[in-house]
Amino acid sequence: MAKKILIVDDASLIRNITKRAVEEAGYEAVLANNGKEGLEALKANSIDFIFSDINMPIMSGMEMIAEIRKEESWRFIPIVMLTTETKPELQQEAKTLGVKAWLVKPFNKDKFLLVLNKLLG
Amino acid sequence: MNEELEIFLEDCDDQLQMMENALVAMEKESVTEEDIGAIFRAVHTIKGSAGMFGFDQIVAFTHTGENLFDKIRQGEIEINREMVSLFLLCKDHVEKLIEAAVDDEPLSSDDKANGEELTAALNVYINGKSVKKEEVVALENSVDEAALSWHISIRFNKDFFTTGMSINAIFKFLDGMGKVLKNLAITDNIPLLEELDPMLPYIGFELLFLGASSKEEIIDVFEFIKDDVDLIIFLSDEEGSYETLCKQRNEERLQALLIETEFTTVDSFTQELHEAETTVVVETTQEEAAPTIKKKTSSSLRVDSNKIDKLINYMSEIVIANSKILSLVSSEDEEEENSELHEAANSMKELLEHVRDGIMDIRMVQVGESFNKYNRIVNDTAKKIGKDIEFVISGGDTELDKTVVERISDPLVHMLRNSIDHGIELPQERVASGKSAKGRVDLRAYPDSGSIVIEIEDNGKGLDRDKILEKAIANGLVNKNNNLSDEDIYKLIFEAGLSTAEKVSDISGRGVGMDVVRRNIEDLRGTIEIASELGKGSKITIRLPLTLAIIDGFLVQVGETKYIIPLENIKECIELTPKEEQNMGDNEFINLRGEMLPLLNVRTLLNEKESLTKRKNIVIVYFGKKSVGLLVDELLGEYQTVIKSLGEVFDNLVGVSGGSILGSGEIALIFDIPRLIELKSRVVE
Amino acid sequence: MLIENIKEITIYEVQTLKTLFLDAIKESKEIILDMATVGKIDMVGIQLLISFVKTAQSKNIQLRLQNIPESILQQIELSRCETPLGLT
Repeated sequence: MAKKILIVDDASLIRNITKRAVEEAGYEAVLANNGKEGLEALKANSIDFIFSDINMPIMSGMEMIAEIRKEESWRFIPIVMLTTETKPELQQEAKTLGVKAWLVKPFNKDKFLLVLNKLLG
Repeated sequence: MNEELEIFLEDCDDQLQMMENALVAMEKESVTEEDIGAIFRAVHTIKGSAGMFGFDQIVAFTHTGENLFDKIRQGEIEINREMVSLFLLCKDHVEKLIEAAVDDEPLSSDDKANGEELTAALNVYINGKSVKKEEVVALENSVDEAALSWHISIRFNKDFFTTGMSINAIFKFLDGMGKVLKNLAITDNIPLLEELDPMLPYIGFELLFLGASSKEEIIDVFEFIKDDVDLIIFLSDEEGSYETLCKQRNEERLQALLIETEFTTVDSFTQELHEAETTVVVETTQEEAAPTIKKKTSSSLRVDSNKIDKLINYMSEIVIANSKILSLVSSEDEEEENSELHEAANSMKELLEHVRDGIMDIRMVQVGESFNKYNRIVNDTAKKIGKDIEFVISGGDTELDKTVVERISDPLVHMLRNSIDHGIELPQERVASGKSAKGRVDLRAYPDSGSIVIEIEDNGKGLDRDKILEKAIANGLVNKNNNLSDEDIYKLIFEAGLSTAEKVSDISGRGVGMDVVRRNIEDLRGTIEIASELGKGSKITIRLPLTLAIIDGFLVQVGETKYIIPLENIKECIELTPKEEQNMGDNEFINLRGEMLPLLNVRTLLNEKESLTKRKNIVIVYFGKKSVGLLVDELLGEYQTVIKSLGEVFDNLVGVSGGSILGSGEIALIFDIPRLIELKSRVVE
Repeated sequence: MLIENIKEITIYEVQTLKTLFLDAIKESKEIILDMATVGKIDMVGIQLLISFVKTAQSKNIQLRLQNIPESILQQIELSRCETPLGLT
């Protein structure tokens, strides 16, 4: 069974291109527009990995992660931030929520594929 | 055209249309925050998308536009009609850039010149002057020709499992990058079920990897889990390397296992360890004979740091109990001479101090290992922004408390990045100002009068005093009419919201950071200073206490609670006479030899009860250049004590950094003087 | 004693499984762990299994892992844990 990867970003282009990279690497992509949709997608699917933007309307990436960490069955899903934010406070906050990796946009598809492989093999 | 490019085009069209609508609206009507936000977002999205396709020209151009809009968004720059027209022109230029990029054709020279003009015009608004267009530095892909045989030893830190990251992914990735010739799971440390905490990683791995990769490239594979793994990587044919590995890992059977699985041979170990190896073999095969073989003791011992902390706790209680004995002995002394008892008590005190110092010493580690990690960060950062830098580390053998070493790491990295990004100039700039093309950054550590000093020095362009001052005045950090010394002005860079970088880059962020650095250092009870000379360079000096665990303090009583004030922050103690108290009334100031000193009433701050003692005292404390008087009840004297964390319950207790248990079993709270002073001066202002 | 119907041996389940394995060791001298239904395993789970195997050995209890699905075996082999699990 292919691993399911959730991509949360409000920019359609980023969503689509990461989706392509994810599928090219042989995984299944689930897309969401914002944190709230992300949580809904988590409920509807068994997600193995999350890539998320921070600045999004309705519910931000940070708010979403805080919710995710509260839910017993989602506690250990690895999360990688996909963002332009480089503020150390934000990174620190994310760290305390168990976010390990920080991928600063812009990046290209090859770089993203490489990252995917490092994370998922 | 491929599908992805089509999405890109469509998306850009949408964004550009949105931008145009917003801009046109701005021309006609008033400017709304929403419009500004929408434009910023559009520019930002285009930049991000273009980056994914490697359209560097678009990225460079939109980066400048984004910067300007960021400033407008933050309220730093007010948008005007000319800017709106300029942005409409920029929008047209972006369209051209996109067209050229998608068609994979070079930009016409007219368009190119036009773009440069627009960038310059944008920069005028951003900096108030024109700046040369940004150069995009291509990432180098260095390939080592020959395949090397690397040994990779992996252990995990305690939180590894909870990150959800998979080590199998790393194995697979390595197998794609080269070939994993051997992989040995080290399972000896996995305890029996009764003892097992399933969430802790006990397992480890030893890998033999063949690939045309550098050590850095291998470390890079662990990029996303680097905080949670403990790696040792070396060339497998390096002499003595396996011996070092076994010493570092300090696991009983590791050497035997590595030999058994043919990672290496018995011969690769020196005589000394060879003996130890035979011991292991003998032990496992003939248990009876083992005791007769002389065991080699290893030079180091791995001890759980909790055990040491426990010892320190006991030790502190012994010191406290002993100080009680001492005071009893000396009070008896007054009546009759009992020199023998006195002597015994004193030598006991001395011995205890030795033991205490010895225990504290166990926590000390050399900073070198942690400093060496910065080599790579410096190189990578320098390379990324096209700077040539010599990074010199000295004093790696300086010892510091383990916790301090760990907690100083992030601030140091931040400051190093700052030095490289903002301090050192680009090679051509350096040559133009008569310097060598290669910049130099020094990282030094050395002990100095009871504390440890860490310095970061660069020979870059130095801090621009006037620019900092200008910015600080603009941000309301200081008054226009101030007579700050140069030193005071340089210190302003540690204030929140002051970034003097003309150009924002992805290396050192947008004006956040140095204040966080200062906070981190102060949390370690350290201080930070900066010296700089325009054109010559800057030097940041950090002074840290040798240890976090022990503090020389002064014990005072307020209401029903005892508090400890760190001795290093105390200027003097004075008594508050009833007369003065009357004079003072409700004013939160006292007159100290003609100077008005802000007064902080500890009782009201921390809701202590009114005390029975009539006498009140003021302890004058200082940090940096600021002083505050703390109004307390009784002064109880100097006191050396061990700091204990109070746990989360006390997290929001203002101005208290920790606690300590007194000889009587009472708890005393330790004041966080820098924070108290900050609090008081904020109220006063 | 037969332990079966385990869906996953992962970080989410290891605490429960540890209790289950401990109970089994107290009760029986011969344990069979049937893994036919296991759909997911991770390093946390593999480590727990190794501890289980070690514990059984130290108490002279016979423990057999059987019907290991191919995908699970692959995960175990990737981290070279087949030997410590006594699968070779």
